[in-house]
Amino acid sequence: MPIGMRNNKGIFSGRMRKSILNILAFLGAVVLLSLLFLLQAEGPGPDFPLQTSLLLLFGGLGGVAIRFWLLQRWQSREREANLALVVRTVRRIHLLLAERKSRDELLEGICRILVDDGHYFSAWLALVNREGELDCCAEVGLGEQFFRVRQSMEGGIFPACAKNALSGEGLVVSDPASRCAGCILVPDDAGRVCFTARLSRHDQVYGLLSVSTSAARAHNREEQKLFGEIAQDVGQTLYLLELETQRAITENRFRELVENSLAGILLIQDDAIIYRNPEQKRIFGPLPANFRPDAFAGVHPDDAEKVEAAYGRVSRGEVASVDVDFRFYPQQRDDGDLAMKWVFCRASRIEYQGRATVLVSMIDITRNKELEQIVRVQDKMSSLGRVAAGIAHEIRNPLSGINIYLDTLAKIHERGENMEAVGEIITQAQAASGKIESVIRRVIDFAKPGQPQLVLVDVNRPVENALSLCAVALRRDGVGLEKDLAVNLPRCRLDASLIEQVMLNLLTNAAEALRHAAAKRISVRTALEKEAVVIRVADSGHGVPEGLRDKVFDPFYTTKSEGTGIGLSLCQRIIHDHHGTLIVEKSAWGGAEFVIALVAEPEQEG
Amino acid sequence: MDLFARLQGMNVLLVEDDQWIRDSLRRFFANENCALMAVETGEDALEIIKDNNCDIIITDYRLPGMDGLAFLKRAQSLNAGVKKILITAYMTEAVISEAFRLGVHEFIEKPFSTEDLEEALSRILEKKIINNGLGPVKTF
Repeated sequence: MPIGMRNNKGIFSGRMRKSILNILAFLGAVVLLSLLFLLQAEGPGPDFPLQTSLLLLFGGLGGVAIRFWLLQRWQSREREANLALVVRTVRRIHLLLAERKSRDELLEGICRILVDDGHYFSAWLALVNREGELDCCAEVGLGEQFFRVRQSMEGGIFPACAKNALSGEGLVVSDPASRCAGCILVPDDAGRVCFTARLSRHDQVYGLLSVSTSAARAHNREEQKLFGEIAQDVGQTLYLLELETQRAITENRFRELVENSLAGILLIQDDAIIYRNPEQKRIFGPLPANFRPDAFAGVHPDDAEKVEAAYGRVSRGEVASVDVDFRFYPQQRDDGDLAMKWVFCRASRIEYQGRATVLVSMIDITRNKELEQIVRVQDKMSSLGRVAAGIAHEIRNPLSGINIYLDTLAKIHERGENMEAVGEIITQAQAASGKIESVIRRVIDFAKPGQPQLVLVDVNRPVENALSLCAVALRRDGVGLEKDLAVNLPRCRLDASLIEQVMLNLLTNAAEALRHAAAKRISVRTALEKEAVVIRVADSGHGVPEGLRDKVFDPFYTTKSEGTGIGLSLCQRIIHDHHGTLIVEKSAWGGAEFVIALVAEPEQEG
Repeated sequence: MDLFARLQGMNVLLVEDDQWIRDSLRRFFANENCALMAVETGEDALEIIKDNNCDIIITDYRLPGMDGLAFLKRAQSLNAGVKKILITAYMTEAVISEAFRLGVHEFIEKPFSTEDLEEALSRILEKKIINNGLGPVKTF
């Protein structure tokens, strides 16, 4: 440790210097006092009584005391000046930081403050990365001298003082005479010393700061301590700078993510929109400046209640997040595009800029809804196709009846006899014609596209309709149908044609499952179970293995060679739209039993 | 000779699950002063064949329980000389060839009119003599 040893030697020689000064002050005061005394005595000769000797001694001591007093006074002034300097330097560094300059400008600015405001001849500063390699550096007051050092630092070779400082030795003091490897001071810089300190905060090392000052200050503890504090402050500054940089990077990254998100993003604070990303603007179109979501402008009237309730629950903090899909009409655009849109929307309660905020992200599902609608219609058609033979049968038979009645009437007319039967025949023919009309109407109602219309209906009605549509087909296939529909069931809010579609699907599925079964039985039951209206469709087929009971509802899952697998998934979707459930269990015959549970509407008083 | 005049002494049995057709044909036959026994299922029809000497059976192919062909097979074994007319909406090759094997005499396709039925009945009555010479059609 050559530098440390030199330090000790320096402190020792300093003490010797002080002792010499003290002796000189003592002797000077003694000589001064004795001369004064001799002037006063006026000639009695060199006669020194004890009194005179004591006086001389006190005089000497007094001299020493005055020297100390003067020294202290000078030192405290210097300390005050130094402190003021440090405070000013640190203050200027913080001001510099507040100016949000680039890192390089900031580093050079720090060096300049140290040289201009502080009493340092030169200052340089180097930042290192986590691997200890040079990241960047700055200097003031060194000029050409610094190039050499910088080059070697770029090559990974740091001056000895820098290396020692970085390895955590605390403050390192070095002078040109120390001949330390790669010293920044040149031999011309005699009379100067370097103070080098690590710039760090906790365990994070940012780099080092080195200044050169007059050699007279080399051993001044106060001076060293002050420099240490400046280094600490610069370390803190670098930490803040890093935080600021990271925060800016993170914010940029998030902003980029949000701005380029496929989802529309909206921030609502105190019921006012404070941010909309481009996708949100694309979906919703322009919104009036005074838009407040509590107005819910443009939301489809049927969905307004749902949207308002969902928003209310999140904004009041009743739930952390809520999902809702709804229809709305975008505000008028220049191109007059007013087509209705469907969005799926998630509203979550978050804290943004220290305040409670509702974050709304939404995706445009208009296309999905359109496709869903097409699939629904197609599924209806294929359900209808599967029972088409039965429907044809239902039309053909009464039509044959009408033909026969007409032939009979023709004969009666021709012969002019048996006229009394005519009235009865006409009534029967009319009944047959009415039957055909009812079948056709049911088919048309069933195939009619459109949004689900939930109205209060007795569940048995769509169940009966579906049963009558496929009764012939079932009978034709030799399937025994057991029907047990509970009377006086509470009514449910449902779309009868959709429930009919589900029933038709379940019934034709059951019939297909029985195609190769020995016993062909299907039972359809409705009942009130635990406040829910339950429809059960059971068959005597092979059933659904336990592991596949959820899978059968997956879209495109099918065991039938000609099926699309859409049927059951759509059935479940329809039942979910009714806030009900559709599950599959094992029937009493060991086959499958599909169970639909629907919410019963509470009976109105009166 | 008028078709219905010849039918007056005969037992005609209709097996048809649809009430519209049963009712209208019964009414049609009544208007011609002929009796038509109409039942819903093959099982009911077999009961009648056991007790009565049926001359002509008109049956639908699609029936609840046993189908028209299965019924005709059983009816054939009970009454070898009975005339058979099959009504069907589904004229598939398999049904037709099976029907021919059973010696079904006539087919009527749904929806049908009385003319179709009258023509079929007329042809059967004309063929009566020839068929009598051949004896019952062998069944399997």
